[in-house]
Parts: sequence; structure tokens; C-alpha cells
Amino acid sequence: MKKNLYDFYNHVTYIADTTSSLRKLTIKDNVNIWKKFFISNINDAQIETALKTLKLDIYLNKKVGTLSFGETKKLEFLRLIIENKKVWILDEPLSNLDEDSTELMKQTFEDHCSKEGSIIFSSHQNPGIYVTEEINL
Amino acid sequence: MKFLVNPSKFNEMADYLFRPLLILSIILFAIGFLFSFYLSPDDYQQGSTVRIMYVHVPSAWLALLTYAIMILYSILALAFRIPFGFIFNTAVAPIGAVFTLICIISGSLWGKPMWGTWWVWDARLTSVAILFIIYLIIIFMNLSFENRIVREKVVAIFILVGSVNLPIVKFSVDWWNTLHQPATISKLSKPSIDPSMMTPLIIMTFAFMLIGIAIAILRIKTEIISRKSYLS
Amino acid sequence: MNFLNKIIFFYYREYKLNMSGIQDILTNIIFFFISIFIFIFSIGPDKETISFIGVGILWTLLLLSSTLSLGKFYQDDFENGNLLIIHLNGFSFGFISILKTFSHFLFVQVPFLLSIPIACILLNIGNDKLFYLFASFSIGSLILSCLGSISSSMNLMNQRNFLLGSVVVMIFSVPVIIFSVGIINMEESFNSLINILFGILLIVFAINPWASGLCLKLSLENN
Repeated sequence: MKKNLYDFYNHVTYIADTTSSLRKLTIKDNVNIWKKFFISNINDAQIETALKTLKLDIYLNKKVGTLSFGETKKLEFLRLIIENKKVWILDEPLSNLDEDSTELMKQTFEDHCSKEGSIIFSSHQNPGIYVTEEINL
Repeated sequence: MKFLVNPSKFNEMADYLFRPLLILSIILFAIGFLFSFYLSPDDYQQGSTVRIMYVHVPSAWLALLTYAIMILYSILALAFRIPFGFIFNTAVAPIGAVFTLICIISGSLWGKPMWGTWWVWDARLTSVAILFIIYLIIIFMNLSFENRIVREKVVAIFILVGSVNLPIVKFSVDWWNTLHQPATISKLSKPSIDPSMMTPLIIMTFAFMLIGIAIAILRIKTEIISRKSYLS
Repeated sequence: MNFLNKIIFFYYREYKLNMSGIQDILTNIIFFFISIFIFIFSIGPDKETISFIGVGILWTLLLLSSTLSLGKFYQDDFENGNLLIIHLNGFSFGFISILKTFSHFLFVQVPFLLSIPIACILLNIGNDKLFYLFASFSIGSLILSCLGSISSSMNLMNQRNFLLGSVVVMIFSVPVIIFSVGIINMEESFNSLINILFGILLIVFAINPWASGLCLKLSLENN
């Protein structure tokens, strides 16, 4: 049971209402640390395109502490992509984002689901994507 | 023996026990003070100041005993998940602190005429002072955490970590050559104390113990009630 | 192999974090030296007295200034959720506490270790005692790191009264101070005293993962 739990942990990642990126370091350092620590099979080119689509590549040498809420949120998504795990647990993933990035997020979700991943998330607004099971509170 | 681990059984038992314990302890205190002030002899060296012993020694024993019981209950609470241990720890820590404080104050009152100073940096005295500070830290931890579950468990862990001080207090007089005299009363050997002084000492120890248990019963009952109102 | 890589990159991450905030570590050391100045000003610049009580002052100040930085031991990682992310990547809480203890030793205590010779010049402590100071401090500071890990993990959920953490460290560091100052003052019994220090280190090292792992788990569960 315990061993299975650790196996399960190896496939889970999450976003909470906090920013897990290190505020003192630049985006580049953060990405480097994640890439090495998570031992992911995402290569540099893929990360660069992800950075470009998230429009974070212009801030590459800026410290995370100086970014806005929406940009740190996008950085969190970058972490999810780098971690490359199957189960995503997201708490309010679409808050603080503008419309363009919301669209982008939806696409990312659909991509992830098509790659045999699963997403559990909570949200205030209707995301407008296909949801297998919905719990209304 | 279920009442030692079960809050509702403890409440029933406490209602039976509280009054007799209180009355018995008051009677014992009366007899004990009578013995220690009038019926026991003066020491041929120390004179009348030896009578401080009848407060000093029982409170020191009980300070150690309280901590030992707290260790037992923290192990019960952490390892066997018995929440009564947490209740006990929260309720009993101030009692132990008061016993330690009585021990330190009476000790320094005794030390002034005998050793010539209020305080010496001797191993026994220092370790008892550390025991007092550990009790204070336990009380402050109980006051300063907001989350109840975290507070209880953290305090139990702290009690277990702080238990390294207990054998140091007990054996400090044997391990180091100190000004404080070694233990005169032990289980294994014949006590090196006269029976006329032994009787009031034993009576006072039981009086202190019973009053401690009575106060502990009161405090544990209030703790159980406050916890019930917290949950509901 | 993956596990070893993860450990290496955990330290890479700690290195990056500490180097980006290197002014914090340097402030600690400045605090250390300023308190030496204040001690000397309050005692008076008499060479004999200073060299007599110098070792005691040195140890007291090392203890105080290394407990100053305990507030950030787990707090940052706890608040931004990195602790949980690291746990999800295959480190148990006890193992995280061991890694963090060594990182605290490397990035907070080793700079103190390096600044001891300068402090010795200021306090007029002879070269012959330098070796004993190094030996006792390199063991003692590891003990202090372990104690710091325990106390700061205990006080993660304690928002009101953080000073309690420093008090917890200082109350348990009494034997460390006694034996390590004893090493310097009684050089003939160096071997026995350093063995006692090693014993304390092993005890604390055994308690540390258990206590701080449990506290970390508790705080994360009830956050």
C-alpha cells in the first residue's frame, strides 16, 4: 500500500494558490532547476517553444518577484509542462489570467487529456471545455 | 483502569474521587506540618533549617514524576493515538512547573543559610532550572499555536525530545562531584535518614501528591469540557 | 542513479537560492563581528581579560548568530509549496530534513567556521587554541543545525511567537556549549570530550529526521 502510494506520488503534480517558483531567482534559473530536479524528458527546444507561447521569453532574465500575478501563474503552468506527469491537480487555474492565456490554458488542458493524462480542477467560471464529470457545489 | 485513557470514564471517576482526595490531602497537610514543625527533631548540624526539606524534597520528586508521566502519556498519544494523552499534557504542564518553582525557591532559601549563597552553578541546580524552562516552553507552546491538532502533537514531540534532561537531573549528583548532596533515599539501599525525619517527609510527599492529583483532575475536566465545546 | 541526481540537484537548488540571497549570510557574519565589538567595548580593551573569556564569548555569539537565521530554515519552502513538490518527487519528509540540515550547515555555519580565525585575532586567542576551536565548532555547528531543524519545523505553524524556536535551540545547546568550551580550556582531556560531543551529535542526528519529519508532515496536513 505504502509503496503504491509513493508510485502514485510519482505521477501527481499540483498548482495551489501559492507561487512555487523561487521569487529571488530569474525565470531562467527557475526553469533550469526544474528541468534538472524533475529529471524530465522534455528537451530544451520544447521548453523554448513553451516559453514563447506563454510569452515569457522576453522576461527570461527578470526575477520572479518582479513579475505580475498572471505571469507567475503562467510560470506555474510551465512547471507542470516540465514535470510531465500524468495527474494534474489544479486549484483555480484560470484566475488572474487574461483572455488569450485562458484560451491557451484550455488548449493545454485538451492536449494533456489527449495524451492519457487526467486533470482534476476547481474553477469559478465555466471553462468551456469538455469535462467528463462535474461536481457543482 | 480504563479511566486513565478514556475521557468519559475519567469524568465519572473524577466525580467520585475529587472530594475525598481534597479532604485527604488537607488532613495530610495538617498532620505533615504538625510533624515537620513540632514533632521532628532539629538537625545537629543544620539546626532548624532542615525543616525546609519537608517542602523541598517532595516538590522535587513530584516535579520529576510529573514530567515522567507526561512522557508516558505523550508516547501513548503519539504511538497508540489516544487523544487523552494530549488532554493530559495540556492540563498537567503548569502543575509540574509550579512544583519545580517551589523546589527551586525552597532550595535557594535553604541554600542561603547553608552554602552562603542563593544560587550556585552546580549540576543539579542547573539541570532543575533547565527543567523549569522546559516546562515554561511547553506552556508557551500550548498558548501560542492557533491550530489545535498541530499544537498537541508538536507539544508531545517536544516533551519526548526534552526528556533527555530527566536522567541528567536524576543522576547529576552521582555523575559529577557537586555541592548538592547525593540522594539519601533510594529503593535499593537502606535510607540514610532517621525514621523521625522520614515520617514527616513521607507524609508531606503524599500530601503534595494528592493535592497535585486533585488539581490535575480539575484541570483535565475543564480541558475535556473546553475541547467538547471546541468540537461542537 | 535517478535518486542520486535528485539529491545533487536539490543541493544545486539550495546553492542558487543561497547565492541569490548572499547578503543574508553576510549580514549574519556582520552581526557576529559587531557583537564581538560590543562585547569588547562593554568589558574594556584589557588584553588579559579578553583572552581569558574570549572562547566563551566566541561560542555564545556563534550560537546566537546561527540561531538568528533559523526563521528561514523551512519557512520559505513551506509557504510557497516547494516542500510538497519535493515530497511528491520521491523524498520522504525525514530525508528532506536531513538534506536541509546539511544545507544549513554548508551555507550558514561554514561561513562562521571560516570567520573564526579573524575573530580569534580580535579576541586575542592564541594560535594553539585555534585547532581545538575548529574541531569543536565543526562538530558543534552540526549539532546546532540539527537542533535548528527540529525547532524550526516545530514552529512552522506558530505565527505568533517565533522567538520560541530560538529558545528551544538554546535550551538544548547547553551541553554542546559546556563540552566544547571544556575542550578548549582542558586540552589534556581533548579525546574524551570530543568523543562526548560526537555522542551528542549522533543522538541528535538520530532524533532529527524523526522529529522534524513528523512536524513537517503535521504542518503540511493542517495548513
